[in-house]
Parts: sequence; C-alpha cells; structure tokens
Amino acid sequence: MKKMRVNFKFCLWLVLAAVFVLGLSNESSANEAPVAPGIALAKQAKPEEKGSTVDHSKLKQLDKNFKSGDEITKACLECHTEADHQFKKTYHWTWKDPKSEGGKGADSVNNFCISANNMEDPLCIKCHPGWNGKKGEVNCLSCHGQEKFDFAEAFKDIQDVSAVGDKESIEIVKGIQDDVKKAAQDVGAVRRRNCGDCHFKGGGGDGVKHGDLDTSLLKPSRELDVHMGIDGENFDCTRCHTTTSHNIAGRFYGTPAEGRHKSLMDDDQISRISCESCHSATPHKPGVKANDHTDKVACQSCHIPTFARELPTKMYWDWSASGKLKDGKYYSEDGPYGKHTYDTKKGDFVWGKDVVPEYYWYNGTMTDTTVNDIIDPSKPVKLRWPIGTPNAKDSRIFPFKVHVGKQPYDLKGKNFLAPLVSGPKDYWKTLDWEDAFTRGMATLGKTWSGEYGFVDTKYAFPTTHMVVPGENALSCTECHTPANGRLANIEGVYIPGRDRLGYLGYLGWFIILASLAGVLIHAAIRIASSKRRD
Amino acid sequence: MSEHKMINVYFFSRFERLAHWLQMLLIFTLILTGFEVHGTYALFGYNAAVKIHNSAAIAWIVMFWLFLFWVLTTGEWKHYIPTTKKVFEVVMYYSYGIFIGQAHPVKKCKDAKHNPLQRIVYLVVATIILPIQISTGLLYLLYNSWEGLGLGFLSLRMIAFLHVAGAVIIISFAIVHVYMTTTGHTPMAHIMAMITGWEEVEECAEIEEWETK
Amino acid sequence: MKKVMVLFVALLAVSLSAGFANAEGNSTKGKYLYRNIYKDCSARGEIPSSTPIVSPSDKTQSQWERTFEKKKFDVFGCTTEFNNLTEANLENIYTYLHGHAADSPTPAKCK
Repeated sequence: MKKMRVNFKFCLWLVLAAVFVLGLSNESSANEAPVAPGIALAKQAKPEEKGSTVDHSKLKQLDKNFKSGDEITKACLECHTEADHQFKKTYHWTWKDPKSEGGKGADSVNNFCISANNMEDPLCIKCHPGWNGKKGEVNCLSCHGQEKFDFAEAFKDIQDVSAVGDKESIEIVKGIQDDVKKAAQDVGAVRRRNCGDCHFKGGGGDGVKHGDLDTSLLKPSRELDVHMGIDGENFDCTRCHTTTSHNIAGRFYGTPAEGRHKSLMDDDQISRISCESCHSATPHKPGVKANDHTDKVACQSCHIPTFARELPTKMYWDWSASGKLKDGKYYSEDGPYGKHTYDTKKGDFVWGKDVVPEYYWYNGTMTDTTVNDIIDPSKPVKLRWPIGTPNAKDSRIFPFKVHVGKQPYDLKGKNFLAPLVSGPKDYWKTLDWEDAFTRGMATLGKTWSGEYGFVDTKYAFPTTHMVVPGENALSCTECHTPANGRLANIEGVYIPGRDRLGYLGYLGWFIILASLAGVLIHAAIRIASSKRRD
Repeated sequence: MSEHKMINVYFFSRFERLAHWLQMLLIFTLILTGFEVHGTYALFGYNAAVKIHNSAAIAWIVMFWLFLFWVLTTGEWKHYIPTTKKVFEVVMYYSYGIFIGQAHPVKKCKDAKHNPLQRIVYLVVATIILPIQISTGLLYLLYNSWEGLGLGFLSLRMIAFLHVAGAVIIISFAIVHVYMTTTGHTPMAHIMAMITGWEEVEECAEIEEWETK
Repeated sequence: MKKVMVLFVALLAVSLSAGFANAEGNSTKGKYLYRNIYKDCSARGEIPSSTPIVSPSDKTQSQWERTFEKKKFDVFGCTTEFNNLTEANLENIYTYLHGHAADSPTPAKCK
C-alpha cells in the first residue's frame, strides 16, 4: 500500500514535469527551427527564372525599320502564330465578361470614371493592349516589352522629322528607327512593370482604385509585400497569376477568385495560385490556434492588416460636387498626402493611407451593377459587393477596400448613367452633364430620360496583395475583443472574446455572486451565534 | 462540547494532498485565463492566455485521470459512494445546527472521511461537471477535426456556452468548498488536514456499515 | 529719357523678331537634337547618364525665352555640344522646350 502511494506521487511529478517541459520547449523553439509547414512548403516556390531559348535580337523578322505597331505585331506572329487568336479571346482584350452583360468595356459601372463607354472613352482605352484601341492588332509589347518605350510617340516623330527632309533629319529618323527596333527586340516574359502600367494606375492614377495595388509594388520592401519584396521572395505578378494560352488567372466580373483553395501537392497543374496552393490549408506550426481559423477566415484577413501602406488610395469620390469654377476657371485643392481633395472636373475626393479593411463573408464572387439595373436610390447602392454566406463551406471572412462614391443616375429610369468624360467634347471640357450622358449612353446603345440626380454608391475591392511577413500579422485581440473589434459586424460565427452570452451570462454572474453572498451570510451568522453562545 | 475523546488521524496521503493543491493551482489558472479568453477582462494578453489555458488544461486532464486511477486502484473510491442516509441531517446541520453548536451528525473517520453531502457533491463534480469541462474543452481544441470525427453538427457557440457554464459551476463550487473548509472544529482544522494530512477529530467508536460500502 | 525708352523698345522688338519668341522651329526635331546632345555628352563621359539634365517642364515659357535670348546655356551642361549647334537647331530645341514648358498645355519631363 505504501509502495503504491510513492509510485503515484512519482507518476504525478513525472507527468507534470513532462507537460511543462514540453510546453516550454515548444514555446522557446517557436522562434527558431523548425519552421511552420506553410513556410517550408512555400519556400519551394522560387522566383520564376524562365531561361529563354530565343535571343530576339538575332531574329531576321525583327531586324526591320518598323513604321507602325501593327508591323511589329505581324513580325511577332510570324513565329508566334496563335498568340493573337488566343489573346483576342481573353478578357484583357474584350473587356467583356463572357458570362454576363458586364465588363468594363460593356455595361458595368463603377464609382470612379463610371464607365469606359464601350471602350470609346479615350483615357480608358489607353490601357487597352492594342495599337489602335479596340481595332487592329494586339500590342504584344504592352505586356512583353522589357523596357518601357513609347512607340506611338516614336512613330509619330518619325513622320514629323521625315517631313523636314534635310540630311540631319534623316540621321535623326534613323536614330529613332533604331530605338524602335531595339525596343521591339527587347521582349520576354511579363514583368511586374508591364502589369503595373495599367493595374497599379486603375481609376486614372497611381493607387486610385485598388488599395493593394500601386507603384510601391514595383520595388517593394519585404514588409510591404512579403512575396514581391525585392529583399524578400521577389516574385513577379505572373508567379501567382499563372497563364494558359494567354488567359491570365485572376478574378473578374462573373469569374470568381480561386475558391477551391487547392494545394499544388493536390494538383500541380492548378490554373490559379491561391495562398493554399503553396502554403497548404494548415500553414502554421502544429498546435498553433491560427490553423483552426482557416475554415472561416481567409489568410488575407490577418496577413494584410492594412492596405495602401506606402502610397495613398482614393476612398471617396463625389461627382455631384464637380463643375465649380474659381474666377471663371478650373481649379483644384490639395489635401493630405499631396493629393487633390477637389478638382473642378471630378468633384470632391477623400484619400486614405494605411487603411484598415472592412470584412465580409466572401465566396470569391462579387455582384456587378450595369446601366441596365434598376436601383433603389433611397440608400447607398452596392455597385460591387462580395457574395458569401456565413458558415457556408465556400465562404470565408475576407478583407475589402470599400470605395464610396456619389454618382449620377437617371431620376426617372432609376438606372445609372454612363457619361463620356475624357474626350475633347466630353464632360471635363464642357462641364455639361446632359450632353455627356446623352452621348455616353449612346455608346452603350441606350437613351436616358433627361432628368438626373446623384446617388451614394459603394464599390468593394477584395484585398489580396501587400501581404505582410508573418511577424507583422494581426494580433488576436484585433478580433477577439468585446468592443469595436475588426470583426464586430461579422455574423454567423461565434468569436470567443467578442461574443457575450446575453442573459445566460448574467445568470452566470448571479450564480457566482449568490454563492459568494451565501457563504458570507452563513459565515456572519456563524460568527454572531458563536459569540452569543460564549 | 463533546464527551468523546479527540484523536489525531492521518486522513490525506502525500499523493492526495499534492494532487489536491496542484489541481487547485491548475483550476485557478484555468479560470483566470479562461475568462480572459471569454473576453471578461484583459490580463496576460489574449494569445498568452490561450496558450497558458491550453497547457494548463492538458496538464490538468492528465492529473485528473491519474487521480481517478489512484482513487479506483487504492480503494479510495469507497469514500465517494453516494448515499441518501443522513443527507437530510447533514443539510439540517449546516443550515441550522452549526449555528447553535450542535455536533456534526456524521463523524469524520479514517475509513469514511467524507460526509454524505460531500460524497454527493464530489461525485457530481467528478463525474458530471468535470467531464463536461474536459469534453467541451477537448472539442474546443479539436475544432477543425469535428467534420472528420462525425461531429459536424456541433456549433462553437454551443460548446463555448457549455464550457463557460461549467466554469461558472466550478467557481460556485470552489467558493462554497473553500468556505466549508472553515467549518471544522476550528476554522483552520480542515485546511491544515489538507496541508499536513493530519486532523484532530473525535474518535470514531465504530463506523456504520453504510459508510464503508 | 523718351529716347532711351524708344531705343529700348526698338531693341526689344528687334531681339524678339530675331530671337526665339516665335518658336517656329521643328519641335520634334528639336526633341531628338536635344536628346542626342546628352547621348553624345554621356558617351564622351562628361555626364553619367544620357537622360537630359533639364526637362522642358523645369522652366516656364518666359524662362526659356530668356535663357535662349541671352544664350546662357550653362544650365544644360554639355556646353561643347551646345556650342556646336547651328542657329536653326537652337531654334528647333527652343521650340521643343518652349512647347512643353511648365506653363504650356503639354508640359513634358525627360525620363
């Protein structure tokens, strides 16, 4: 019997010692090796090193004095025979969603420059990857040109200088033609600058549209973007936006973001890289609670604490304030970050930097609003909004930039209006809304009632770039807090530390306080009665 | 106050005492960190609170099973056999007799160290409350495996509620339990017994049969 | 006093008509002449990069006017190349710079 007792005590100490030693060693080794499986897996993903088997400067097809962009493309197609057929089917060329009437080149509206007016807005069309707007050949060099070169300027200059005709001018023309040739030969895999020329400057300027895409990503630090950081993994865009037959993986209109969250271990031909593709669905070290979050919370929610961390992004645009003149002239006012807060052409702006996202349930698809949709102007219209169902298998909590706007709509038809703004006869030159609506709606084959008003709108952008290094991810209390947490408005999920138990919680307090009161009263009576007995 | 002889009895073995105080420490830690996780206050920091809570919980579960094993293998289980006999008398004693200096209706003996009320309460705590706490806690930890375990119907809210409710009952038990330890023949008598193992009690002439079965 | 004024106005008129105020050169040709100056200059090793030191939008139109009237080309660096320019080519370069000055409708920056 005595022996038994000793053994038990020994067991007890042994077990407790083991548990604490294990706990402590786990804790102390957390900062050293071994690394989290999600990192170990992803370390296999190196920056793409596409060794080319072609030196384009040696090709006779490209050893020409090109006189136009179309000529260059024709030279490309002599070898890359299918490239233009492939590309012209993609969204990058059509700007039209094959699955709906939406698309920036179709009837969709946003709350920036509102509409590309069937690709007839001259400023918008600058980003179309063709030589002459939507007609003619594809401009291969807008994506494959390795250094930025203004072909349009060069071709015009060749004509201008040729017209002079003297010997010196002929020399100059030769020089320009050599520059064109050199630029045409300097082609290769797509670099981040190629994508960024348009995608960093959507909405008409650096960082205007997407809070997580701006020119700070050309040479970001690891802290700004752990994947693209030049002192980090130094990925190009195409490392994740993989491509098949010129179809570039990404989300647009009816096409959802990758919702399958597959690992490359499951499917190495996966057409779209999501976080899980490289990091797996349980990327943190075994036993780390964050692994239990991945079913409901998207990686981005914790690993992109704020967006627009280096350069500001536009958060608000009120078109109804546009058109004011000062001394009969256009004017603008500067505000924080050296950005305009007012511009006669465009109206009032609010810019934001280092902005905390809004969080919503998201299944990878967004709503889309077109000029054909009937709206309810009594409340802010959600032009583009995440679709998701709390607790559904395909939905997770995801961070968004929400751009708030005030934009014109047809008072009678209750639909949005798509004005032409940037051309020589358009709103920015004339400040005449009615004419801009009439001609703008005509580009889409529509008419309008002649009466317009302005309505508040909201446009959400999924935030997925500018991922911070793990050590800078959100701390627990950003969400696990009783008041004003980041997920204060998220419904359908129990969040420990955020959610109270309502009346049952009060009942709990009552039980505890009643116990306390009970023993105190009991003790008081005991003391009083024992004194009386003495 | 009694004509019976007072004797010193060794009630609690070293293992039992050690287990008791370690449990106390772990349960106190679990309550302290648990209510931080629940969002009642901020103390250690959320992340630290979760980690301490999880480590303490695993240590305590291991301890609990070890204690249970000890109870079952050493015959200690006899002290926990529930009975309805004299329960009423015990309840009457604590709600009235104790105030007028009556003797406890059930003596604390070497072979029967718990009175009928203790037996029932300890048994309920050990077989209902603590298992609820252990199972809801483990389910909390195994959250992402529910689907695989065929437990997909569970909701975190439900589990969290049960776990918090269990904690409330344990706190309530702890308050009353601590207070009851002061009701020995001197206020510190029961407490010292759990520290030294020894307590001065009235000599048990004979133990009634129901107490040892 | 009046005589002085007349003389001054006359001189101004002459200098304006003979000078650069009209900007009637070939702007495009001027642009490439200007670029080539810096290409040659950096090839010679006088400046580290072939990007022009001064952009058209670094000055206002009236500032360019004065610079070319006084032929104060120190701001450009690369004086060797500048001294070799013919009057006609100076006019071309002036037209380019003037046409893309900071207060012009199309300000330009050399990259």
